[in-house]
Amino acid sequence: MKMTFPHLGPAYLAAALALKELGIPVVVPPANTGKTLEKGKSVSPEEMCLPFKFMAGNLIEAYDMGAQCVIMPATMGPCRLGEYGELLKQVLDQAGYAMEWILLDTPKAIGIKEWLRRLGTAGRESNATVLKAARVLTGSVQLMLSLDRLEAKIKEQAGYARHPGDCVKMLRSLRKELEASENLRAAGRTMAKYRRAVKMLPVNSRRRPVKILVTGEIYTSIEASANQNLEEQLMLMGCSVKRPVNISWWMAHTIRPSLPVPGRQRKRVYLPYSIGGYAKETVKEIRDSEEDGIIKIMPAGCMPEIVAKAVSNLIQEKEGKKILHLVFDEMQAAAGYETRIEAFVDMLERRRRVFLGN
Amino acid sequence: MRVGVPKAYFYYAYKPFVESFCQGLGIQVEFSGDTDQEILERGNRVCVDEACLPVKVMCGHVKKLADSCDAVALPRIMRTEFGESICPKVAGAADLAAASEMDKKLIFTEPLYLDDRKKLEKALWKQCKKLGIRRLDFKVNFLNALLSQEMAERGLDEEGYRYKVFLAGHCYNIYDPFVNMDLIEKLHRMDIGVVTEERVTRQEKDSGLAYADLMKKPYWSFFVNNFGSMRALRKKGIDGVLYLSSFSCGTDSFTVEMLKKNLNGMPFFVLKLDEQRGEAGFDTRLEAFAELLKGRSRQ
Repeated sequence: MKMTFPHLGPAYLAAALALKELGIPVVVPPANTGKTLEKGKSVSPEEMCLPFKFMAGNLIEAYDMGAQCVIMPATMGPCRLGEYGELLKQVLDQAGYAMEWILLDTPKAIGIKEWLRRLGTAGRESNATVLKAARVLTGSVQLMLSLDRLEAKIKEQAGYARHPGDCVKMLRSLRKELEASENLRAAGRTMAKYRRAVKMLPVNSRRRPVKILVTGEIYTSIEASANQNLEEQLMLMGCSVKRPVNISWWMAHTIRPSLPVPGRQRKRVYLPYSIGGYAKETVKEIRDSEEDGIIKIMPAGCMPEIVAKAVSNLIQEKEGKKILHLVFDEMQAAAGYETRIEAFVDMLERRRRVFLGN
Repeated sequence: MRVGVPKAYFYYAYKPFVESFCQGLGIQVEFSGDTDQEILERGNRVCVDEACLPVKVMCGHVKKLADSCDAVALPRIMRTEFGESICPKVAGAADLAAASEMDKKLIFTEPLYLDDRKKLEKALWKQCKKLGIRRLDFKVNFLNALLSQEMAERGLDEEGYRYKVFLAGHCYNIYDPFVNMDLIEKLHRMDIGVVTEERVTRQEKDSGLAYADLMKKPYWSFFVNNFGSMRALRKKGIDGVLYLSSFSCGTDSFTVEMLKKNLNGMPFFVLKLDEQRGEAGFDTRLEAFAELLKGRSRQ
């Protein structure tokens, strides 16, 4: 039984390697393109948000490549993401793409026993021992964590590099090489190679780049095709980009709180309660940011991020942060976004010269 | 101290509780009155653009009260009495409204978990104490309010009309005649009576959900109410389902789709509301729906 999963940024690299090592046949859907979105749109309800349409497209493409079973994590709302699985199954079944579903809900929602059972169903075709499974799982999590760290480093370096294009190229080839790697060990070697390469990058230490924080809804943040390659655009303009919302961040905010590990909780002035999605965390990132400017992104109609937008407007007024809101939908109108991003970066550069004297 | 209570949003679902709770607390309570064009315009001005119509209406009510009262009560409902959540924009209602410079005046913004009576009482008392209400008054009022919410007969189940449709949707759209442009009155004129989800018991909803072949337990109260009730009412011989939704409603984009797949051939009609309030188009669609019902009964 060939397994598949919808894309979420670089998560497929680690997930595919982990499943391969466990001996579970896996179909990785092709990377998101305009065509993916077209296919997704053809089965999706009009008002569902952008990530749903991409995911539907991924699963259709995977089905055409022979996938028979979908594995997908889910949470208990109240954001729509938690119900994605349910509706994806409905619309895909109806459109003739019937597949088996394994919905990995949070252990809190379905109980640890059921959670383990579902994990067991996922691994029923593997003949790996529990010990090996645990080793592979930690290995892939580690790969994910170090990949996120490395990518963050490269994006930060983009502002200082002599040729900002180098960083963009490096990010692309890093992903390509990881995709081609045979197993976790080989992936580890690739990572080490690139870690060295980052240090060798020619830099201009006198540059004072504009620093930009990219935050907002998680899918549009992680999946570059859903945000019109926002980060690459910024890097090519010579900005230093920071994006705290990545897979490691997701793991820290979703998996950890559902485990019985006590964590420190600080009460916040703006949006102190979790209202669903990651609105609370987005607001926290914006509030605590020290970058020159913030680009807050979301797909059209995202419920939690609408609240976050209202709150960040308040923060902008009171704390003097500079925020650009970008809303993405399936109209892939790149030029309009480009213009706004350029204007924003220009404004930040100018502001820096005028007010801060450098 | 003058406390304003917006007549919007979940006021319509918890009206008996709110009204009974406000009486005899020893503070002046002012209700914001029915929604009108002015309130909607105020809401449009202060609210974030992407929000849906009910949020804008709510902001308009709060803004109106903020001008005339010392404080505005805007509860933050995290979970309903059956433990489901509603929508991020309801849980963040206070934050949405606060973003338009009324944050100092908002009270009762502690999270309310209606499925846990002790927690609910504690959260309400915390605020009441600050308002200088005596413990005994609070306790009596709280119990009274709970009782009246439980005893009140809510919702509509109209007899005596030729057709009967299930009017699905959200309480703040269904019971606000300004927002839905007198929908119920218009339906009556077309000889259509309505039944709403409040008249379906929780057990019926649950059993409606149980056989729906869902992969996971749904966590939205709107989904349970509308989807469960539709499946329960389907057996009771209703002529159709009319879904009153607001533009860009997040939960409805899911609920409507799931409803469509479980209709068994019953007429289904979605009406979208937005702040443009195009009444002619709305009427035309309604008439088309009435024609559909007529055509089916002739067959």
